[in-house]
Order: sequence, then structure tokens, then C-alpha cells
Amino acid sequence: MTLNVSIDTELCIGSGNCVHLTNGAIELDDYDVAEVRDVTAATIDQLHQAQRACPTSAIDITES
Amino acid sequence: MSHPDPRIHDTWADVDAQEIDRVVVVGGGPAAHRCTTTLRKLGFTGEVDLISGETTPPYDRTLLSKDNLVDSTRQIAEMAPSTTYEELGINLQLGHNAIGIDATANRVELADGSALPYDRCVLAVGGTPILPKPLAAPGVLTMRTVDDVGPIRDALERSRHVVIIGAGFIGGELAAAATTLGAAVTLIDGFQVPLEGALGADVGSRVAALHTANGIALRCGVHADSVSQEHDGYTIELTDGTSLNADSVIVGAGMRPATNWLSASGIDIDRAILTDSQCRTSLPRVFAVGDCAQWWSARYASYCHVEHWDTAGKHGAAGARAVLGQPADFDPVPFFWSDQYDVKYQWAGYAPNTDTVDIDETSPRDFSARYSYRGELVGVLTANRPREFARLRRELMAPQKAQQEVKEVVPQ
Repeated sequence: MTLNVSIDTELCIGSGNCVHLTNGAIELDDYDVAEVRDVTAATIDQLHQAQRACPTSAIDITES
Repeated sequence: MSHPDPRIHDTWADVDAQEIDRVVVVGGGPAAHRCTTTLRKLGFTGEVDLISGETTPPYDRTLLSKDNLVDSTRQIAEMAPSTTYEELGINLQLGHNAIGIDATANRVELADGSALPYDRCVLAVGGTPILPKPLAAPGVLTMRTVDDVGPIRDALERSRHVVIIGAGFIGGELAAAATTLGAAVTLIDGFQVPLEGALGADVGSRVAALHTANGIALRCGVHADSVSQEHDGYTIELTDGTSLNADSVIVGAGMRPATNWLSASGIDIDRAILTDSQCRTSLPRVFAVGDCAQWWSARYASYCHVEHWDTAGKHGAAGARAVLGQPADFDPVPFFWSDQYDVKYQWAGYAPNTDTVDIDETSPRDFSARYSYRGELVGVLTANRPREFARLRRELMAPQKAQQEVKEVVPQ
């Protein structure tokens, strides 16, 4: 099973909740927009929590 | 318009050139966390202290009602792994309450009698829930910190009937959590509809419909006069002469900045601590960020005070830049969100005055509202429309640019 995590950059406003919840899996870039760095740094539960905590619904997680 | 208060510029006139060896940040929320970590990110190598009255390192408060309240097995989501502060050389001092600032000796005084010298101090002390005295019967609950979660969860789990006083965002989120845990809820608010003061009657009536559809008994247009503890619960007397009985009572009556301890310091406070756009207070070398501060906004030509999670974090980061003498220029379009039941509300703007609300609606759980004042867009609120929110927010932040974009994409 592969976990695909993507950020909708049109929706992201750089709140950074995903950054502190995912142990480095997601970071803010130089423009304060979230980007996925290393999905394996976070647990699946942490990634789903970041998705729930995202104030703009910008995180999409699919399993394939 | 430049900052209207020359006192801040005068008191800071001789400060900027000084070398900084030690920064003391007072507070344990997102503003304090972001301030200390941003100081390191910007390359500051001096001493950094984070002094918090809470005994838990900074954590995600927004998840308390979303996750921790409804699921006791969930850990508190700390904003950094416990090793991070040590790795970054941030001296985390938890369970220490600051009781004063000596701005002449440049020291923060702590409740245990000790004092911390600083070259720069950042006040990020947040706020405390308001609990009016007539409502403060023993066991009446409020929601703010991790320590409030357990007692509220216990109350919701063992109560057949919960009365929540205040149908604002906290009250609404608690009502939603209570229904998840199976408690019957009566939600009381002094306005005619929930959030009427913040969002207007049109949006408030849609929020009311959502509560009612989820089985909440909504009592609007009445205030709670008093709460008294009986042998098997509480009696809540209302201003319309009626009364309610409840097994537990939670009050969501807003917050007040936690600034009482600063009254002897001489710092300028008008409900919250006044700052310029560089986070500087009226005390030289002392900055303020987050819920305890109100910043001078050139964008709005007024002081702005909001209590929003997102704004507080960004304010903390701006405070770190300001401490290091870099331009902070904190002048955001405030943003907040609230998840209630299956609806995500998102707001952007600062709108103490509005005269027009235009609503585009599919249903009470799927709509957008544009708030205008004298013909100008000043705020936007959406319910379950994240993409439209993004578009409206961009329009709000750069009206002319957004209009150009619209022209470009609409075929002639």
C-alpha cells in the first residue's frame, strides 16, 4: 500500500499546522506554502491528523 | 497612515543598536512556540528562554475540541517533539508563572521569587476564558487549555443534559462534541441567533439551523443570570424568568488577554497590549504577540485585536524578526476557521463595521457570505466551500489584482 499525500497550493495559506503535526513530512516553502518533503517521516495517523487540522482543507491523502 | 502613538517610537529611540544576548519569551501557545523556533531559524545564537505557566510544552489547541475531547486515547499534539527544544537550544521552563516585568532592570519576575534578565522580552501570554461571577458555581467548566479537556470530557460523558452558555465558536464546537459523546445539549446565547455579533443575523440564522438539525436545543435572546449548584446538578436562571436544570454547565463567554500581571509595569494596555506593526510595546525592549496583543495596522488604520490561532502563530514569527531588528511589518488579513459537525467555517477579514452581507447559498451547510462596508469588501465567510474561500480571500487581500485575474480568465 502506498500513501500519496498532496497539497493543494491554491488552498494553502501557510498556517503551518501540518508542519508541527507531521514531524518534518510537510514543511513550508520560502513562500509559506506547504510542501510534502518526506512522507515516511510521519505516521499514517499523524498525516490524517494533519489533514483534519488543516484550516483550508488543502491536504489530500489517498492510498493506492 | 503611520503609527498614531509617538510614545512607542520615543521610548525605543536608543534601543536598536544594542547587542542581544538573551531573549525571554513569556507564554506557552503558538505565538511563543513560533517566536522561539523562528529566532533559531533566523540564525540567532544567543540564549532563548520560553517561560510558560502551563506544564505541557506548546501544543495544538485547535485539536483539543476536534480530537482530544471526543477520543480519550488520543495524545495531546505537541507542536514539536520534546527533543526539539533541546536541539534548538531553547530553554523550556514550564510551570513558571511570570508575575511582573521590571522594565528598568530588564527583568521578568517569576512567581517562585526568581527573576530572569533579558535583552529583549516577548510577551505571548494569550488569554484566559471569561467566567462571570454569577455563573461561577463550583464545577462550572470553561475551555482553553489541555487541563480543561479531561473535566469537560468527563462531564459530557456522564451527563444526560449539558447546558452550554454562549453559542460562539467555542460554544458551538463544544455542542458538536457533546452530541458526538451522546449528551443532550441546551445552548444559550444572548443574541437572537448564534454569532450575530460577529457574523450578523443572516449567517447566524444558518448557524442556528445547523445546531437545531443536530438535535441541539437552542435558546437565543436570553442571558444566563446565575448558575447555582444543587445536590444533583445545577440550576441556571435565565433573564426571561425561566430556569433550566443541567448535570453540567460549560461557559463559552469569550476570552480576556492575560495581562493582569503587567498592570504595575506601566505598559500601555487597552484590553490587550498595544504595539506598533513591529510588535514593539510602549516598554523599550519588550514586544507583544498573539492573543494578548493588539497591533497597529496600516491596512485597517486602526489597532487590531483578534484571538485566532493562525494569526497568533504568524504574529509569533513576526515577533522573532522584530526582536532581531528585521522588518516585521505585521499587518495580516486575519483568518480563522471552525469545524462544527460536518461544516467547516472559514473567515478572512477584519470587519468591526459592515453594512451589507451578500450570501450565495446552496444550503445552510454550503454557502459563502461577502461582508462589505461602504461598498468595499471587508470580510468573507464560507461554509464548506474551501475553494471559493481561497478565491474570496485573495480578492480581499488584493482587490484590484483579483479583479484583473477574473477578467483574464473569463472569455469575452
